[in-house]
Amino acid sequence: MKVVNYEIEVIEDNCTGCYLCENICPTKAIVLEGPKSSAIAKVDNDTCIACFRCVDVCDDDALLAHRREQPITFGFDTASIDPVAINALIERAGVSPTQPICPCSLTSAQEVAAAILGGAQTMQDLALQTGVQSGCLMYCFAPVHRLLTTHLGHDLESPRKNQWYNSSMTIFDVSDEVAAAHPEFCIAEEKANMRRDRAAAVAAAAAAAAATPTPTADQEA
Amino acid sequence: MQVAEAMFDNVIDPPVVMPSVYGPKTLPTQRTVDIAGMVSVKVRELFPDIPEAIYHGGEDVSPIRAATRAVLETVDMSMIKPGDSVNILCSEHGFGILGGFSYAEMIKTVRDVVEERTGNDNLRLVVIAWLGAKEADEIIEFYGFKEAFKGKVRGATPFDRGVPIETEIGTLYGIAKVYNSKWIIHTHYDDPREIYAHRVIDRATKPFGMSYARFETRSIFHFTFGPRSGNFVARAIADSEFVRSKLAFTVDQCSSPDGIIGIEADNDLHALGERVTVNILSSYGKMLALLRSIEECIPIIDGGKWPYYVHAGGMIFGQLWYSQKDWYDLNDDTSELTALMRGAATPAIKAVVLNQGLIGLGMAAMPMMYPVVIANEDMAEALRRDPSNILFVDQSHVEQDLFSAVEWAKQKGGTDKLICFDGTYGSINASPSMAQHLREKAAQCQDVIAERLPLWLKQRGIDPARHGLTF
Repeated sequence: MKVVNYEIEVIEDNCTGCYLCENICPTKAIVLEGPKSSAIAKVDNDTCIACFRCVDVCDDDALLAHRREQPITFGFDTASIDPVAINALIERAGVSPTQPICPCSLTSAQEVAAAILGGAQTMQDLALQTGVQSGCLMYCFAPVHRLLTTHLGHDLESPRKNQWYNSSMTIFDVSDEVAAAHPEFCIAEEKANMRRDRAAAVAAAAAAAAATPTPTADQEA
Repeated sequence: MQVAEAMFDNVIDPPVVMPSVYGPKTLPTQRTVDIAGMVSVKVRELFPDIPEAIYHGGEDVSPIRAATRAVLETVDMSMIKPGDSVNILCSEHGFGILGGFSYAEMIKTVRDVVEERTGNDNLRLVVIAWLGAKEADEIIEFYGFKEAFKGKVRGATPFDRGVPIETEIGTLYGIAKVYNSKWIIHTHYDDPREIYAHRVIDRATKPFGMSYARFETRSIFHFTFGPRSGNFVARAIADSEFVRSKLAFTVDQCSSPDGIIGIEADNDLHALGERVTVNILSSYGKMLALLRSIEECIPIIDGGKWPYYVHAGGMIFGQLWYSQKDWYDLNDDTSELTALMRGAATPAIKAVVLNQGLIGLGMAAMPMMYPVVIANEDMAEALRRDPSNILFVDQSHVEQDLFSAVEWAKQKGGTDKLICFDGTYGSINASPSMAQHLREKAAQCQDVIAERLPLWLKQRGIDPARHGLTF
């Protein structure tokens, strides 16, 4: 989940219509409108997760970030999805259930998995529904992509040329032969550790959920 | 009992900070060395067997040029023909070591020697950024690379067009601008830096899975492999037919906590990597043990790179923050990186003062774990716009100047043991009480190399006898 405090303003007089901002935006919040020879960037700030990549990539000072009057939040209610299904997807994808999947937006793997089970079909959907991909992308891209492609059962089409590639292998994709050929990287041991620790984490979470008393109808009223 | 300043050396000047759009709008005029009463302690006073540097910083980089020329005599360059395209690759963190001037000089010398020896003047420098679109341009301008490379220089980011690389573990993605030449020359540096991420496993290949790679591959290294196995991503790329067909040779800036100790070069990346590994383990092991033994401190971060990566006596702040584990020891009881790091966070940090650093690298946990004060409004404003640290300023205190920030931190932290992460090698700038504390703790860490180095080497499959080491 991400709380967004900034919005983007386009300085149209400075915009050269180079498309760099549109190509790098994870949510299609910024698009170039008009014929290519005179296209100008337009922003829908309701779908901007404030990654600032557009501001960074602009060479013409055409984009400014301003503090919003009211912050907006991009997040998905994990409680709306069956936790057993969430954990099953995380396990099938080979992703950690305990590491924050996106440290920049402080989003958990559970929230991303829930959003996928709740209907998110694209990386753009997930960015808008959870705030992932709004920071550095050096951590979250692969596990997020892996969760989505595992659920969908196929690779995805990148919305723009070279915006991202279908590449999200995990340690569990490494064959035993390759692992054995390179013992100094501890691949086999780490696979085993992860299976053990993740199963324990899921079991502990399930036990904690089972121990939490369900409110009665009177209590809820 | 107050510790007298007279027992220690004067503070040493930290390296200059390169202005950056990713840092505070204006560089702070107050730096740690301006804090009254600060002193310094030499790392070779703490540990006399730390290898002595040929370069400690400053404008005179002639020792670097001489060492680079000398070692390149041993490298075969006959594969490079006049007219061949050659990319000389460099990575961002080298410019955070002692102000970056030695790394820049090494790179320029490599270019000059290759031209002299091969007659090839089609040598392009590729400066690869960690994240930002403007990082490379800032580096190119600040270090005069356009002039040195006669205009043949370009930047690259992890968002640039990728090139698929077939490896033992499948398709990974490099940055096309890195590999779009007949030959590549890999220039690197061996300071240990984020040891919690790479564990000194195959350190010399790391840029192939990070700096030279697209963000998808960097994400795989960090988060879908384990803390040790992740290094295989880089190795797999470096060992691919694609890379092996292009890699002419590797040049490495070698360091100890004292400074730059020399330059290494080799046509055989793995052979060089093993020598570099032995250096990192043996040169830095005692200082890491020292950081682990600190009982209380207030770090002041005051440098030109991301806060994790600013040095004090050659050791980065991240190594203090996550000091409560021997990261060189490859025995782990779990393979979840964040769990390991959480367990390694030191309780010795009583407060943190952030005077300056770059934005963009996540450090969200810092103000959740320690009282943090940001020492000026420019730095606070930079952090408010940091998409990787969205709650940082809200969870921190902001002061208007460094001295007020230090007083706040001392009161909050209940100690006057200040340690300055301001970019220095060779000495640590600190308060007298901190310098005394370091001296006392260093005495307890003298045996760590003799005790632990054999294990560290064995875990990495390195025969000590190959490197003239006996135990």
